[in-house]
Amino acid sequence: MKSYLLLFSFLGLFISCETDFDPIYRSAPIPVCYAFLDAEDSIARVRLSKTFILEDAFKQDNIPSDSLEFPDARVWLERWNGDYLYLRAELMQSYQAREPGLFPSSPNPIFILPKDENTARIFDPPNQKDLIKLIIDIPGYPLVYSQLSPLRPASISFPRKNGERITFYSIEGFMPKCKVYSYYQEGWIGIEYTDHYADSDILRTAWWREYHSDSSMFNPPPFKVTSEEFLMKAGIFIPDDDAVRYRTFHKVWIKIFGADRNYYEYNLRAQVSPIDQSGLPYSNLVNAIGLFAATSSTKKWGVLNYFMKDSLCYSQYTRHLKFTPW
Amino acid sequence: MSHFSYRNLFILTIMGLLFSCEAENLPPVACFSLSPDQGDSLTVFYFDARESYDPETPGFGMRLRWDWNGDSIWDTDYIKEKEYVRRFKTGSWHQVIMEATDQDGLVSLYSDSLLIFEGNGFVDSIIDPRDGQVYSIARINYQWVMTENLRFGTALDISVQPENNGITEFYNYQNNPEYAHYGGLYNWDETMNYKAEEGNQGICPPGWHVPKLTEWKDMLGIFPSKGADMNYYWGKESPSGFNLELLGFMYYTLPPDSLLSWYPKNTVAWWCSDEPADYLQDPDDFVYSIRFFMSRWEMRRMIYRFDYFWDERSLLKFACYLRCFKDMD
Repeated sequence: MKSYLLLFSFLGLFISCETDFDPIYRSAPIPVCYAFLDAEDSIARVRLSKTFILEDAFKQDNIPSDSLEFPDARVWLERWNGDYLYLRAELMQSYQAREPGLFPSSPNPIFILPKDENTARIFDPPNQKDLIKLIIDIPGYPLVYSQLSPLRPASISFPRKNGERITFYSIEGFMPKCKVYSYYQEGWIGIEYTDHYADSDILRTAWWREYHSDSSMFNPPPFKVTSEEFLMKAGIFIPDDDAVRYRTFHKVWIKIFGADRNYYEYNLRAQVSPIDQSGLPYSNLVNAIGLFAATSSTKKWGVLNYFMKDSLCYSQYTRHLKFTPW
Repeated sequence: MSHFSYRNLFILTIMGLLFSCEAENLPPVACFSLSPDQGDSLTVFYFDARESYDPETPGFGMRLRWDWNGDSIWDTDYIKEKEYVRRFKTGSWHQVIMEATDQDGLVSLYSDSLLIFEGNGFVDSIIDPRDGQVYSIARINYQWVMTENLRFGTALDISVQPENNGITEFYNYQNNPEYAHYGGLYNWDETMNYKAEEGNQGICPPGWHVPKLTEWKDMLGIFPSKGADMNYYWGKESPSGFNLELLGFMYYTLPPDSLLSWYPKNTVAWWCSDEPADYLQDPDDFVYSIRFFMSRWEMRRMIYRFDYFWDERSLLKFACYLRCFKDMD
């Protein structure tokens, strides 16, 4: 009896101590997709690539050129009104230059849908029951799918129209007024100016974020900017450039950026690295990882009044920027 | 009762209490939403079962499996994922059944149904005995309708006005004979054969008539009138078989003013037979048409004839296509 017990114990030990552990599990590549829809854009873009595993240590030249793309993939955007199809449009495959980075020489496939008379309905102002669906058909893979509710852009009611004079020298400062419809919003201020060099002039815009909502806050209080804050931030965000002879001011931009909950959640979770690096990042795609989100951007511009322009040229925060009052 | 019996009773009571306090395992709650609930073989259906849960182990341990056609044969293995997408290749109704199973093997079922469009099975053709032309027809919502525009009569040049002369006259789109296959653009008088009467045969073949507004609405009521891709629901190879084509239409006046406008090919209009009030008495009366755009259709009142310059020669008239409806037995 004892010997049987001993035998079973050993057997159990051997079976339970199996240590086959593959640190690099060679699963099939997973589609990775990023797509942002903005009604103001003249084109919709869907970026599709895939996960891959390198056999050796990472080098620029050991990445197979086809390891980042699905050449036979087909991509559709569909707009649905409840259970009824409003528009179905297939996107065209295109290639975009890569920014410098990890894979600068690898192909960068994207799928595009230019806004024209046939496709513009994808971007129509949203109704309550509207859904925009992203469908990706990759041979040999399950269908990739995601859906979102189209976003209604914010409306800026003050400044009322482009070209109005803006002053920051009131008691309460400058307070743009806007109505927002998105889950998440940001308020941006921009200064459009020209850098005059000895041999050329370059138009630039310096942007900075003045406000952002933490979560779903419809119709948040308008953000306010005092003259001192405005000048201080202009001094920070407009870069010093010794080669610039002088600068001329053109416009002050007010931009309200809006995004849906998908965009917000993705960014929120991307800021927090999982401790064990085991979790997948936020994804709202079925059978893929990535993000399908709606954003919007509403802009208006104004001009500075005389006092503000004068301050931009001579205030302690901005005099080094070489703005001229003419 | 002896001391021994009291002790046994006490033990039994405690044990009974312990066993009876064990929570009863409940089956999981199965449910899913389906979007959309109808479509074609290209439509991707999204099944979202994230509202399903197991009361004992919320978020864990539950598995789902699916039967896509209601034949009680499971089409998937047990899976953890609560979102599923797929297309359906074959037409007609599909009953979709989902089974949710918890760790103890208790199951719950949930089902919903969806419709995959097939082409309209009720299609046929007729020969117009007056000129031998063949027209395709379809039965849509119990009404037989022409699925081509009427081409009966004689084409006129745009410089000539149709008249009540016993000859059915029409214009070609863009005044171009190459567009004769679109069908004739008739003014309302010609369409009604100069006899204003609801449901009148007009210039339709025998046994067919110019449809009333209510007949149009009844037929078109199977799909929404707006917020939908009209070509998808009414165009060629659509589930209705109506064969919608946005071919434009026109309005015109007689020379010397010769006002002329061709509506572009993002719309189309067909006549209704509803009689305008005070027909022929008030020149600014309206007649009705059904007008399609890319994403909606609507009833449009069109000026029957508009005295543009208070001059008989300047009467503005519309010319639209005609789809005849079969007379009800």
